Amino acid sequence: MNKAIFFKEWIKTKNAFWILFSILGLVSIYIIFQLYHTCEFVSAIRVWNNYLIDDKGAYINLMKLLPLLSGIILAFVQFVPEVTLKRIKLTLHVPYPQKRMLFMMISIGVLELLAIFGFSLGIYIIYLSTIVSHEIVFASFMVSLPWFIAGIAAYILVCAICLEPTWRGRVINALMAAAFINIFFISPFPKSYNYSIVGLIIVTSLCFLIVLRSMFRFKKGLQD
Amino acid sequence: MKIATKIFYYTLIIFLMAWILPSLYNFLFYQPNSIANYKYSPITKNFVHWEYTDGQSLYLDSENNHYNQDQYDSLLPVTYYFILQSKNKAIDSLEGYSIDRMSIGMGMASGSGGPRNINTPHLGVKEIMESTKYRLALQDPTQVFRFTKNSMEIINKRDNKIDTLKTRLFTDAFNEAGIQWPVLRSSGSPSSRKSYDFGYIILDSNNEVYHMMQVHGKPYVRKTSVTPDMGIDLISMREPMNKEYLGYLLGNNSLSLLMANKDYTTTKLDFPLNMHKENFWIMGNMLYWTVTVARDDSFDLYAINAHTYKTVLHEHHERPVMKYTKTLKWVFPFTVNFQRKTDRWIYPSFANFSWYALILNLLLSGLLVFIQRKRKDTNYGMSIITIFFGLFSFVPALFIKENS
Repeated sequence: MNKAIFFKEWIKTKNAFWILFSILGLVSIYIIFQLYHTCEFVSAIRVWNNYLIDDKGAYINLMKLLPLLSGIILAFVQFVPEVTLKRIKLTLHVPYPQKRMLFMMISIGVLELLAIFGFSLGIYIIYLSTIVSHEIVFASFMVSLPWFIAGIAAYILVCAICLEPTWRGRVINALMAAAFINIFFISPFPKSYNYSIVGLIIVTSLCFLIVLRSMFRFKKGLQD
Repeated sequence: MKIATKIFYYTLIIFLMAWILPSLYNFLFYQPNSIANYKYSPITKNFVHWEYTDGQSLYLDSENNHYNQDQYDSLLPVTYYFILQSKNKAIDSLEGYSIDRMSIGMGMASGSGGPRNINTPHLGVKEIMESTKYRLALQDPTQVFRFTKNSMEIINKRDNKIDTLKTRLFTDAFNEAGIQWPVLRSSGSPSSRKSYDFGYIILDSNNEVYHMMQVHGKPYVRKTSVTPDMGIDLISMREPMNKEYLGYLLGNNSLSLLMANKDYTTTKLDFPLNMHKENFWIMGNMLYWTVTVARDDSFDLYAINAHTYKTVLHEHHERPVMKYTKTLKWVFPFTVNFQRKTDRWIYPSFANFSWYALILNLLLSGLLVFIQRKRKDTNYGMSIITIFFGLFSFVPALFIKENS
């Protein structure tokens, strides 16, 4: 059954997955080319200075909102057809634990996002580590990590918004999601999220409970 | 599981409201409470400042005497030397010291700091530059360094590789000087846009201070006269134009200057300063330094003689409490902040706990019960929660309907 669920979700989201994978991958490759161009035609010293002096989020700033948009788009692609075509009713009526079913669906989306983010951030980090020291690589990574976690949080919360049966509930969930995701963009100062990043990851994971809440309300048949 | 989802949902909403509502309140009702730009006047021998009130600029001194702008300029003959010179009103000497372009430039002093400068993430690498000039100017640094548990590593920016020879030379120089690894802090100003470079001041784990430079590619490391009992825990390289001192040393509620002489003596300034809790800024010229030490509820002004480094005048001022901060305690039982004035870390902290908000909480709770009865909603849990969380739970409870 797990394989069937995976396959079903993959069929729904594979086009969006590959498009997002390509977009974020291409942006990362563009950033790498910027670094390469600076090293070849100016000097590697300029790259160091861009990180040390000018802007701690140098180069990677281009990626700032892409993970957030990726999470929102993937959630829409995965759950809007379920809700508008009323397929979610069938999904929740198959002889399979409903909470586990929903957990599998969300997990597949999260895994897809992790694959996209892992690839795009990974190639950037690997290339950057050949130019600058590990302290600057880590600082650049810590500047961008909240943005990627925001993407996963956005995915989970948009799933909850889509599954919510009432428009009033959707608006409230949307406002709550906007406020929560805002936390990830408070400060671009490197390593400023050192003390809170683990907590943010835990709370993001717990946002699955909000998806469950939407599912319970959907099953109850709540209406506006 | 349903209860768990409800608990998490409402906890998150209340938490976010505790962050957003006070921020919105501050945004709507904020009143500035900044400290005016005070300077010590060698003419009137007191502090003068200007402020912008009710659409006009006021120029005042400590005795509340009012001046016009021309008179104010004359009270600060060093600060406004060039403006006075353009009006042929500049004086050429004061208190036995000649005032001219050169002496003004050489005598400038500045500096600032506060808890935010201490409680801030550090990158872990800093630039190291050659302190001797090449063809009359300093060169941009091409290497960086990091301190490890027992060494100083120097890395070339060009190829991202460790310069093993320099690493060994600098580490040996520190070991010979008697450093106690690991290094706690280092402070320098590695920029080529200055007239000279004094390298770095280093604080080791024994609270002793060292001076480090790179001279012709070789290390220059000297131990200063700072001893552990001085309790120095913060350092700041300043590099003034007159090269009289290297920088500031802070510790034991005081600020000292690390003098740029052969023995690296220290000169303690005689005013209290705890940079872990207070902000300070120094605006100085060749005759006097004006030091402002600020807290949330008050600030102190010190006039320091720039030659003897003795305090010649001290004033204490209270800062008015703004109306909106007074009313805050009646409205919100507590606030959540992700950013604070005392550090650059992002994490949630709870502040401004207030029992006064209980009155509003009880009113809101009663109002919520009334509204829920009209809605025929029997879920009075939120009304009980509103007694403790006030507006943070009242606002969501107005809009969230559990059973439609």
